[in-house]
Amino acid sequence: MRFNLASFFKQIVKVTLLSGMMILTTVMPTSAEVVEASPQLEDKLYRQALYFYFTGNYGAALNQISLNRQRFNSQSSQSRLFEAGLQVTVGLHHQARQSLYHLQREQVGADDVASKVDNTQESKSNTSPAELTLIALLQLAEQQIEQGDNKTARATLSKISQVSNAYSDQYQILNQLAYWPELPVYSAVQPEDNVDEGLNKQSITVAYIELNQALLHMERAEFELAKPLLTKIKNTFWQPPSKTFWQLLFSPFSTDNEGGFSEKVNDEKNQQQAVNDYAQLLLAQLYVKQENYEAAYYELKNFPQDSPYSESALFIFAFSAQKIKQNTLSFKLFNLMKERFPYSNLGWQAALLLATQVAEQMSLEEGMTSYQNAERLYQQRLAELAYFQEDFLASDNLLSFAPGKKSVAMSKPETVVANELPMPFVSQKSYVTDSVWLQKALLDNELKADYQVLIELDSITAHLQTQQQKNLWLQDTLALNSTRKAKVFELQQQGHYRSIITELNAKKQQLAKIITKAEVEKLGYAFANQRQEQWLARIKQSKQVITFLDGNKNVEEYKKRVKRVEAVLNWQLQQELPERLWQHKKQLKEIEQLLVHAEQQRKRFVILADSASLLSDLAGRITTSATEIKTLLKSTAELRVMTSVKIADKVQQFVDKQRGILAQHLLTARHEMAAVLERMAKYDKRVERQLLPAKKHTKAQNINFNEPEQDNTQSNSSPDLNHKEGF
Amino acid sequence: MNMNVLSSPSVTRLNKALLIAVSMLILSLAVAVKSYAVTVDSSATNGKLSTALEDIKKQVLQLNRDLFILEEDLLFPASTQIAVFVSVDVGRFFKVDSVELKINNKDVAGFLYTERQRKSLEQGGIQRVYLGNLKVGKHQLTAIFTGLDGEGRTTQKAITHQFEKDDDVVMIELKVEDNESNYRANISVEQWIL
Repeated sequence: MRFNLASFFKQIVKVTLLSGMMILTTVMPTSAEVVEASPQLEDKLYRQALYFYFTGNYGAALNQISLNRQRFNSQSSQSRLFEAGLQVTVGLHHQARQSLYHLQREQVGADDVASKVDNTQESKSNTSPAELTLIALLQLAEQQIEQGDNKTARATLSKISQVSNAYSDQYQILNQLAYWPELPVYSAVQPEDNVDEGLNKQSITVAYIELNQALLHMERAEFELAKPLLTKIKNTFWQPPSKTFWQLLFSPFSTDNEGGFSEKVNDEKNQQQAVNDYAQLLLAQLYVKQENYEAAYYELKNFPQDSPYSESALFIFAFSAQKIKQNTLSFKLFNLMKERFPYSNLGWQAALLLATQVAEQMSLEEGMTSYQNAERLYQQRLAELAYFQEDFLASDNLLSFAPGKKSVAMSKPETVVANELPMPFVSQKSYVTDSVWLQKALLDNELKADYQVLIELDSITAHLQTQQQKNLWLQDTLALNSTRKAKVFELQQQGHYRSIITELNAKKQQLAKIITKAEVEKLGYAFANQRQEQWLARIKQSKQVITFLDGNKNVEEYKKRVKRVEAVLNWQLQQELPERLWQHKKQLKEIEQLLVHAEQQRKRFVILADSASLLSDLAGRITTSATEIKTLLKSTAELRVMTSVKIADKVQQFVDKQRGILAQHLLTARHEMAAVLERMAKYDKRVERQLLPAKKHTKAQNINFNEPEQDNTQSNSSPDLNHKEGF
Repeated sequence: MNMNVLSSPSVTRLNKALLIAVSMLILSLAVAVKSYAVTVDSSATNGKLSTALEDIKKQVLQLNRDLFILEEDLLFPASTQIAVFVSVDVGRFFKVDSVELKINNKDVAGFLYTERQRKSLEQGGIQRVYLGNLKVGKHQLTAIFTGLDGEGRTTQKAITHQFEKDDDVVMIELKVEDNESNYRANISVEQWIL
């Protein structure tokens, strides 16, 4: 009747743990199940993506959003807009357009409902969905313009139906850019100019609008309209626009949220200076177009040397100086121009202008030498261009053609840690080359974008190769798991856990019966401890001895003593019965729970063991991934070839264009040289005539009479060889 | 002499504005330079290529996600998965430098923050600092944060959390929160409800 609960307890725990251990070693892909996320959880999932975004890992942020949707069906408009922003960032424009289109449609519905509910709400919050969508569309259009795709940018801008004050400037600028050189077409209702709304009249965005406007006026020869605009821009201190988080999000590689304060201040200062310089330069150009060279000269007299527009400014300044007879200065400036910008069209033109000036103001011989120098310069450039063309077209990998020593790093992500995904799309580097011709060609935005595509494709290829390795590793891991699973099943087969659990259940029931019986019949001895059991055994033994001796000896005294001892023991056991009964019942309950748990685990194990599809499902997914990777690698390689061909075509066009310009300059230089030679011949003849004896004077006069008096092209500047201006 | 601005307008941002504007400002002098640009309708090719590139990017993204899920399913099934996250609310009174994690007194993870990562947390990001496996039952998580307090002194803050692992994923967020009343930061724990 008596039993040892402690050993029984240990046995059950052992079964449970072993069963649990086996469950652990078995693959259970239940995490793939989709869980519906509560708004609170959705926010947390969204913030995980935000973390990646803030650390500059845009690809991981986009992946996180995608994972959130896959795992938790997270579909909040905020996270979808964030996704659209990231899609713009990584260049998934088509997807971004689709996401924004859906958001806009939903938003129209939501706005209708909102307007019915609350008509008094006039101003929307800074982050209302409408505003966020507007930001997204504006930034998308900006990227399309930067890639030279103005047509698509127009289509994107036409989707905007309303613009608030805060984004009006940006909207106007983008329209100007997209429709250039035509007049912009504004599809959206723009806010009326309202000072109270806080529109910053000194914002640099206003400067851009006015600069574009002035350029448009200049294109249409409306100089008087352009002049006041440019004068105002060059004399105004412009303030940088403030950007919201969402605006920053949609601006890829924006450095606004990085870098220190001083870097930001410098950047703003440069931007301010660049706008002023550009306005000044355009104003000077306007004066030149009006042939007001003196005004142009004085406009550029104090132009900063380190301005990004110094090349153009220097040229106009030299040209104006030449026109207003500042010969010494113009000579020096054209020389400087020629030396400093040997590959620029302006530098080439400077060589010609310099030669013309020398021929006119110094001597014909020196002029001739100067033209010969210019001719040599063009021939040299043409030869270099031919060499570049040959070299470039022979290059197998365009990215390895004259690569720069260091590439420009853009938004650098933090080191990728375990379980984070790398970002394959946002190329962190821009292409830098040592080839001056290619540098010049890369000033074309489309070509630059194509090079960026090439870099991205290489980055994707490298990423796919890594994923291929990872897939192989997963395959190996799965194989290991399969082996381990087989071993575990074998162990399980040997363990006969079902029969063990059944046996333990039977024992438990038996114990339950004992406890019930002890409770009903108040059997205190059922719960006797070790000492009491020894006593009970001794009593039993004593009784047997007394029975054996009975009749032979007087055992009455013994009987009384045993009875007394037994009574005392019984009394003790009865006293302790309630407490012990409660303890045993409690332990029995625990055993019951453990057995239930063990049985559950055993059943789960059986289910897992029976469903062979779990591992085969994973194996199938791995195989699919391997196929996908192969296909993608193939597509990437094909696209790379196509992009390379496109780049080669564009570079070929660039070379042809440059060759044309150089050939034209060469031709002009040669024409001018011929003219100089002609003038030299005429001069020689004149000198000859002067040196002829008097008898031939009449004949010489006749000859001279047949020749034109002056070359029309040299009307006011017939070279006076005796007169040399000091430079 | 003909001085034309063969240009399009200035652009919105400085760097790009400079590049484009300089290239735009081509002044043709002395000779009327003919346009040698070959008029090729490249928009069709551009469209094709960009669509193809976008398509590849989209597929790579999907592949990334699928492989990530596959990896998680294989290595961290829900029945054993535990994930620990870190978030910072404002972060004025405690600048997080590093965090160490212990589960059942065993070191499981540690993370040293860069300035940018710390700022990312302070801007509202949530970082998953640990992903691992645990068997069903009761466990103890200990997190030790090291950082600088409001006065720039190196400080350590620790928290212990008891939790029970069942068949579902356990997600625990360690929150570093500013306490305005005593100008100190507190660490609190939130177990996400799935």
